[in-house]
Amino acid sequence: MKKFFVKIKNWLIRIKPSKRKIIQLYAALLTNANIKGFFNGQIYMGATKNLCVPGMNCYSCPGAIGSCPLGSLQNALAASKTRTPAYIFGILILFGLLLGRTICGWLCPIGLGQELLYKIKTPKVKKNKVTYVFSYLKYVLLIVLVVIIPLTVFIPGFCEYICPAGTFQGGLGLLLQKENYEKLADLGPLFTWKFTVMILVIAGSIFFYRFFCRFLCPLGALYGFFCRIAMLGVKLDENKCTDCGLCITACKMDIKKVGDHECIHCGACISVCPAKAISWKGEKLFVRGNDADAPQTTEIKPLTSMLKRKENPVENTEIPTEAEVNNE
Amino acid sequence: MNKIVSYVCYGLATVVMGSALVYYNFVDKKRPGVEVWDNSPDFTVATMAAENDTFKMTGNTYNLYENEGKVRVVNFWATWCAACKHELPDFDKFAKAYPEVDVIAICGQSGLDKDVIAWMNNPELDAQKNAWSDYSLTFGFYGPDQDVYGDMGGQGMWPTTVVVDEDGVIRYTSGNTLDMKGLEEIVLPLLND
Amino acid sequence: MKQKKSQLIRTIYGIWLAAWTVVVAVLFIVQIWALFRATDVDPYSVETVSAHFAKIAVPFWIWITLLVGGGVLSWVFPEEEERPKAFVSLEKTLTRLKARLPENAGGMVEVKKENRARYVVWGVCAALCVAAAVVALLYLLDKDYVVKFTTEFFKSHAEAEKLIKIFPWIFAALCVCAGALIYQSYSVKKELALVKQMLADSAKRGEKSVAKETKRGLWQKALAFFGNVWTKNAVRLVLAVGAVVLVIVGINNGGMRDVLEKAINICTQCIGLG
Repeated sequence: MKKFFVKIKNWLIRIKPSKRKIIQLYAALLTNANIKGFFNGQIYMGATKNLCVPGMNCYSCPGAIGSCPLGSLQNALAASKTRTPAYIFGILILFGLLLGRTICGWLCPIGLGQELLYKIKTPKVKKNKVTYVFSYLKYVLLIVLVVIIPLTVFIPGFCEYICPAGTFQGGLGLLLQKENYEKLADLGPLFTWKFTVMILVIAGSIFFYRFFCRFLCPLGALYGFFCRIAMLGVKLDENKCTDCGLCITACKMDIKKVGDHECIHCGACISVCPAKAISWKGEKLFVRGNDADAPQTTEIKPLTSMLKRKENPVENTEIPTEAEVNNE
Repeated sequence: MNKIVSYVCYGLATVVMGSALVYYNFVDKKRPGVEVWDNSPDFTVATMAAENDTFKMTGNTYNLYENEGKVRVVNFWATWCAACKHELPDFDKFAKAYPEVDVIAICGQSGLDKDVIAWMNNPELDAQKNAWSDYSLTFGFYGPDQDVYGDMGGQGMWPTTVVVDEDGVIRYTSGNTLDMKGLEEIVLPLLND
Repeated sequence: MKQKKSQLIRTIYGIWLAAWTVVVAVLFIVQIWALFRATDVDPYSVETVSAHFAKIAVPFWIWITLLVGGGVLSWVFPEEEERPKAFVSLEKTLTRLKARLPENAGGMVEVKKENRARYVVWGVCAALCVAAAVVALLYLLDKDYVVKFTTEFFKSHAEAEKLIKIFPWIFAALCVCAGALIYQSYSVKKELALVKQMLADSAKRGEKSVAKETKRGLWQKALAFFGNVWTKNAVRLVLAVGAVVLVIVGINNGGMRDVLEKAINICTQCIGLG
């Protein structure tokens, strides 16, 4: 009997959500705080929709309390002949500068949805060269559907043809409510195509980690441009890095280097780095490095420290002493 | 010190979440709609028409109550709404076929009157390239200072069509697109009443 | 032994669940297209939608049961964390070892040939990508496309037809890039083997190999300049000020009101409900 309770306790400890998951859940709930919308079939129409939420969340979701930045960008570009899209550009630059792709990893409800789907225990498709190349598809979608189509045809191309968030939150969340059943009669080929895309993205998210984020999300592509200057996120100390590549294998995104345009700053690489070269930006100010304070798991062997030279490849034939290693 | 900062952060986060949930779910009210068989609210909108192939504001207005005695089909559309623009040709066909019905297509939430006029006169901006000057239905317009769509019970989905019968009673309101067949199914029974 | 048994059970369960996921996804897609085909007779409505999806309710609930079962399984047979393996970039190793090659080592010709082959492959790949981009832009920016197309189905969605025409090209370009990347790793492995052989030979001959000091190229200097903290902070300051100015301009010229308008007046076709 006691063993049973111990087993339950261990299981609860094992499935306890990490800090990041808790923040993701908090952000998803705050972004969709208008819960009454799910019961009365009406979207929120008040003043907070003047502001954009940082992650993706369709404004047709009955619970949404803010505007989707991607949808607002497309609509602003579609109307750019009559009004300069200054507001949305300013908002996106602010989000990118302050948070960058930390938004993807910590604040986006769609990212949370994909991570929860990935927890389903099927065999997974690991990242490889093909997924790395296809991670550039989102830049193509950004240029074609978010920039060119709104500017030339005056419709929000990504929202209309691809976005699975719109189909899920607007199509299913809004239309499958008694008050809106009659609107189902307007559905046709476009909805059928988008529903197919949504099912493919859901199935893809079960087999690939963050399928939509890695291959299809233009907002992630946009925030990725700010990777070097964002104020929050993970950073790599080049001087401590020994190029062992453990961070790259531990990372489930298609990064080439920690903190590049694919990194969503989830922090999974921090605990695997043997040289403790990865930490959070602004660590001293507000973020407590979660595992940076943990005791080092591997000693730096003398041979490893010899490989540290990246700028100056002149081989140092002297083996440094223990004292020198520990000082670094 | 760190502990105090983290407690303050947790406290702030709880306060924000709590007040958001309370505000959005209990303080903010659902926008009232209109039901079929209600008396229709009144509205006044400016009208626009084509003169020598150029669209302009006519300087006149259209008032719903003043046109009592006729079946009135009130359609709300906007310059940025593709589905709205798709159904307007069918509304015009209906207006031409049944001149005893008042068909008014009100352009709302599309900016100032000069913006809408410029839009209608610029074939580059309209991807469907409608020939507005050939239209027989009445074009209405309201600017940012009015919310006729909300007054007439619009629930946020565009296009919206409201059909008011001769006595000022709402007989149909929906956020669906309508074609010629749909319009005939809804309006013709009212004419024969 | 218990570990092996639990791993076997987990693998079998995983494959079973993966198969069911694919089956359920395919069934959903088939049903929505069947529903679309049926709209010649009946438009979408609660009745038609529920009728179509009720047909696949059984496989769907079986899938849900399997999911729940997976949760129970992970409780009874907990999985142990995989330790990540170190990954050494072959390109970096190659650059490092090539720097240690003596000036006129034998076999340099083959190494240079391999290097050139890689350049050629990437050149061809780049040319194909540019060609695909040009084709795509020609379609997208063609203002008279509406006049030229023929299908009635896409009459009101000419841009959808454009997208259908250009995405196969883009997909093909991405596949070519993936192929080039795979060739690159194969070629780098070959070259690495050659270089290692050459180093071993020169070591046997007793030549001392000293890595040449590489001068910092223009690229390295540019990276150092932009990676410098002060440059970064200057850029951040400029962008922050610029963004605040843009937001204020946007509030004044009606941009913020536009965001509100579009968020509360939903053009349903614009989010794909059409």
